[in-house]
Amino acid sequence: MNTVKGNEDKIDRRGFIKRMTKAGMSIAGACALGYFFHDPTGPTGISEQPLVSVPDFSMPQAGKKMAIIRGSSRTETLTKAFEAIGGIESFIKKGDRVLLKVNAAFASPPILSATTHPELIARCVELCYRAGAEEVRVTDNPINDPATCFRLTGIESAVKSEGGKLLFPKNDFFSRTSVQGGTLIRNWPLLFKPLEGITKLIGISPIKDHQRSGASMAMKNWYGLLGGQRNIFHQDIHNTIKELSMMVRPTLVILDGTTTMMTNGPTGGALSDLRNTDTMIVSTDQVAADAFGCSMLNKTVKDLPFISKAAEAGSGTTDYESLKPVII
Amino acid sequence: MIAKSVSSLMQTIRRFTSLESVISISILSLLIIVGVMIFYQQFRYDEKIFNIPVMQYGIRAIEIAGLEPEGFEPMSDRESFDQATLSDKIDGKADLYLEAGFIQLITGRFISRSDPANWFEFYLYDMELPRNAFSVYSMQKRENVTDQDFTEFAYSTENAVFFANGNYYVEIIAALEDASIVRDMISMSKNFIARYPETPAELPELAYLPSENLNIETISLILKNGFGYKDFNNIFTGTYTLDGHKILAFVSLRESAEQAESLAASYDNFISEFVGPERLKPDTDKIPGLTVADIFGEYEIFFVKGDVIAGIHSAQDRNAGEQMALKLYKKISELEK
Repeated sequence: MNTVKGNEDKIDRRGFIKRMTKAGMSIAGACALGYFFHDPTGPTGISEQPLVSVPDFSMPQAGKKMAIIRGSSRTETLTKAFEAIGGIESFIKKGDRVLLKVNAAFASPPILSATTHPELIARCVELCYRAGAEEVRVTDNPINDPATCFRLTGIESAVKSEGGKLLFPKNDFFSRTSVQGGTLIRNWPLLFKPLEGITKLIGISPIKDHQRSGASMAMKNWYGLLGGQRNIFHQDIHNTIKELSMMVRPTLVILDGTTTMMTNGPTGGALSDLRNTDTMIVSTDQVAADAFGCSMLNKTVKDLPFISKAAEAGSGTTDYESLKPVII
Repeated sequence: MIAKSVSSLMQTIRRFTSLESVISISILSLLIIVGVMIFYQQFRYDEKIFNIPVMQYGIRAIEIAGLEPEGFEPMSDRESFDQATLSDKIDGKADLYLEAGFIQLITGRFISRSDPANWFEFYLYDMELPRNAFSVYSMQKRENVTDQDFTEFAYSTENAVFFANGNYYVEIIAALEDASIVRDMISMSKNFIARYPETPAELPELAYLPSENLNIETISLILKNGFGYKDFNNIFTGTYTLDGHKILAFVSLRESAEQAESLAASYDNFISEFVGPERLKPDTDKIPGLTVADIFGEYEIFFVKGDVIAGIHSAQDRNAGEQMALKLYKKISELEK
């Protein structure tokens, strides 16, 4: 090998040790730098936090109940519906802490029926307190800016007027969850903080046409508990709704068919997208509620695969008549 | 033994040259630069990693401030959404737009200075092409509306105004049901059209749909996956009322007669996947090559005339379907001359 003139100096032991020390420090530095840059979670950002799951809020001891009440006044039909299933006191006990999961997805006015109607929420908060609830929380993780959504939908003022506690989603409200037995909702951010410490969970949603799933009703409403880039779930929407029904076991669901969004859902926009169907559905079985609710959209269970899928997954029954619904 | 190894290593080290030092420093510098680049890049979200289509088009600068009608002022900041974020605004409806060439959505709310309950939201969808804009307009057109004449395709409802203007599809939606706010929203629509005059959509296929018995508000342009068939694109449909039957007629202009024939053949094969190859003998002999397929009690009736494929989709009544197909055939023949 050729050598360059002037670089042929002898190296002594001290020099050798110095150079080895420098080389070692360089290697250690490179390793430390590599360790610093190492991303243990990879591009998907998998968290090492322990997964959470939604507690089971269903009340098997209360039996399977369902009420279908006709009428145009939400406050009246909701009250009658609770009476028909044995009174709200059968479900909400003194000292209960209740969470109402509403649909506040869009910053749109109540007349569009794209979100849960504020009158219905106000009445429900009032009835829960009257039954002895210690606290009534209301939450959702809207598609649009939460503060604007809760304000423009009228939900914020409705909740406050009845002394409810509105929980806007914040970053630290989310924890990761995986649906047991599910394949889609895996290690996914869940709006968990509002669920902590509660004893009863009620879902309240309008009945709407939905461009992707065909309908947005009680089970689809749990989509609002998901965080992250959740729109990817629209690629397999029917199985996603099935998994949502597996993820959440509510105490009750309230499905508002007073005004149904028949076309151009889930956002709608024109009053001509709506039809007065004058029906309030309250059920302990979310699948049964949707199975009946789809008739408001002139659809059947066969038209909406997620309903049968949820039933097959054990989330409820499509045979809503087996619940012997009280129809008034 | 150890002393010998150390001696050998020391001999190797003696061979170090200044050139080698320069090369080493260069490599280390390069590694540091790469490291810095990785460090910088990791804070940037790259949509391509998640296979979300990245916009390839130039986004047009559109300003909506100042378009509001008299007595109104901006209620919120202007917001804009692209292909990756559209669902953040309209959730499950995003696919309708994304499949039709959507580029960007610009929104803004405007509020009455005198009545805070009186506000509306302006949605401007840039659809890249006039045909795309017409498609999303037509696919969502409501029934029982009031047609407006401030542009070719426009209507209002009790609380909203909708129109397609060139590349743009616009929705203006009010928080109240009120005739005066509809007038205000129409005023804003006119302001918009004056600021952004557009070339109207060229839709020659509309002429193929006979006007008699046509429910004009039902005309739609399906850009993709017409009737569930992946190759059926650019289809105009319209609903007719004939002898009490609702009949959905369709026409699609292809690039050549050969392409029209080829599409008809492949659509026929698609139907065969469900009901087999057997076809019914048409009652009329006035349409050459007319195909009539019984699909579980509904009738798919179609033909090719020149470079047009046309027909009836899912007719409940076969006789009425064939009658309508004949009217369609005659109209296309007239225009061919």
